[in-house]
Amino acid sequence: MTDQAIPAPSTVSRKKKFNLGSLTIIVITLGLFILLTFTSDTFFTYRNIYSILYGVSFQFLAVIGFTYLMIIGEIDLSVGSVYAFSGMFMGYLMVMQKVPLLPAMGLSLLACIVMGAITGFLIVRFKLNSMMVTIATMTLIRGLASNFVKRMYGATYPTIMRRLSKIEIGDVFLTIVVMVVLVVALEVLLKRSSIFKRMYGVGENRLTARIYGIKSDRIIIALFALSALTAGIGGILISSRVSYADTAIGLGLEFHLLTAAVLGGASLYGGKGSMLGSCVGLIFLATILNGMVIFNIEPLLQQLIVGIILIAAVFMDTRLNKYE
Amino acid sequence: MAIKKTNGNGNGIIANLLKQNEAVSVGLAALLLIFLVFARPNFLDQVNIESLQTSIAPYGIMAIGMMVLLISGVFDLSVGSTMGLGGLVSAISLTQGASPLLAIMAGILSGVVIGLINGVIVEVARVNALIATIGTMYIGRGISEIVLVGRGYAGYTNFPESFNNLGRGQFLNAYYMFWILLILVVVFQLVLRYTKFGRQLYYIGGNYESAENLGINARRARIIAFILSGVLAAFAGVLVTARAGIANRYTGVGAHMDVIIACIIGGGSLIGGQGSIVGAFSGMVFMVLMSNAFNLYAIPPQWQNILVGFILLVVITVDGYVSLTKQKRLGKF
Repeated sequence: MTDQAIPAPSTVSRKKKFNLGSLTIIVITLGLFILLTFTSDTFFTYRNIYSILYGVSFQFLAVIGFTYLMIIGEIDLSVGSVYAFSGMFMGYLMVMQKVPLLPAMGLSLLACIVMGAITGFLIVRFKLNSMMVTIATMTLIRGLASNFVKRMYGATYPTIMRRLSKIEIGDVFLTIVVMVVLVVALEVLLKRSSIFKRMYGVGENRLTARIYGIKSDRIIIALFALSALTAGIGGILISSRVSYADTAIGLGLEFHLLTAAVLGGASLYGGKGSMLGSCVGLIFLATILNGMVIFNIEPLLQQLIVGIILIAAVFMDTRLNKYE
Repeated sequence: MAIKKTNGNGNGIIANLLKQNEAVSVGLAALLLIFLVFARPNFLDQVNIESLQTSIAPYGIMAIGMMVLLISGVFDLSVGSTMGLGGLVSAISLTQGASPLLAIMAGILSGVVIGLINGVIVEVARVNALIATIGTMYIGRGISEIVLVGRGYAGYTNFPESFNNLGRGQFLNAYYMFWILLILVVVFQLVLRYTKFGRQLYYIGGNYESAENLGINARRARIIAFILSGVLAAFAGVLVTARAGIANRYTGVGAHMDVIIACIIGGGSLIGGQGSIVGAFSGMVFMVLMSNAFNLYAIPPQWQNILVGFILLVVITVDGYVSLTKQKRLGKF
């Protein structure tokens, strides 16, 4: 019933905007790739591209839920803290409580899902502003994470946990394979599946969505839980790679993801965004840093350049949408 | 212009006071203060009182600017980097041979510039305030890092005594900066409550379109608010620099979150249209007192984040619940 309820005209106009968003960042990233390939010998080597993708593949997991939330018009600033929390909690269970790998991972991810669901419930039930609530949960969860850091006294994680991020399929790290598969799968689902299309409806106009019979409250709670889950999985893997509880993990990640998602065509007002766009946005940010390292430019300039690009991208987007 | 009451249709002074948004933070801060005075004898030690003043003052000054923005419905994540930049600019001016007064003016001027840039990006280019100020936060930090290239951990040091005196001098047993904060709180509270500009900010935060339809120049008012926030943040940076005698890359890192959290505890809202300077001040006092309490009781600092996050969550939820029931009573749902 709800499938037919989605009106065709809105689908058409939405697709136009949405394609434009992710196309821009793809073109810009390709341009950057070509520029770096022609100006540097070391950039377009298998090893270099591979290391960029490997680095991005952890953040990509966290950007999945984040992008979905942006599509329905909410935001989750607690991703960075969850990203830090999940790995540290799991590591704490394994190092200090001697819990085996799988139960520790399960418990940690369960904790993430519960926290995400509570966040979503509060936002939906009391009609709260998601940015305010997630600033609170961000602080709270960061506190929990640093509690585990202190209790581990700088211990290294067990070998079995450190091996997680090094699992290979064929000759490629599992995280990269997962990233590629998920980008394709989720992008197709977002475009084709009616369940996923509903998210755009909720993001564009919540009241209209409700009239068409979409249960937006449930979707929002589920997506907050999903956001915490995907950030949690990414966090466990990055902790496995870093190999000890580093307090710097996930610091500022929320703004990094926001930048990537917005560059990839998402909007803070909801109704726009794509998985491919967010992923390419992350690759773009990583490539800029990579290019700066190759050319021996002060890597500190990265922040400056990212700041300018972010404002310019949103400015362009605002202009374009105005004339549409 | 009619003065809009932020809240309250109840009778009695107490009932009215309780309905003010800042009641929670004033109450929390007062309770904590009374508790600490009686429970910890060393709370009133001179060293402790001095450290309280110098941590409340700069952050409190920034919270004033943030609250002005929150009331008008926007916010500024770049305050931390502006704070760092303001201190750096005055430090560099001093090493270039500028007089202390000139250096302070230069630092404040950097705040004007950043605030103006923020205001123009948000209000003229119509970029969302979150994105715009994340952008200028990155840009400000980037500039600070570039300026500090080749300088070690300490950054700039060795300022003239007359400059350091701004951060270290005292008047009537309290630091200059604390007096400055108190004066600013009173002035801004009065401005918001009783001037046309102040009342306009509440209207703009409440409903931007209808404020414009009423003939309020919302764009100009918000740009002014951004400039105020930039100036206050940069000035806080100058004060911190003068107090520590150091301008390095660590000044103000993460300050934006502390300031926003203090403002929300103090009754502000990211949705706009509510809040007061007294609330921002008491929210900041509460935050600083709490971290002081953690020190005095030697509780590991990581518990502080948990508690602050929890309190913030409760404050936001209760506020949401109250306004939801109010709206239900008015028949909006």
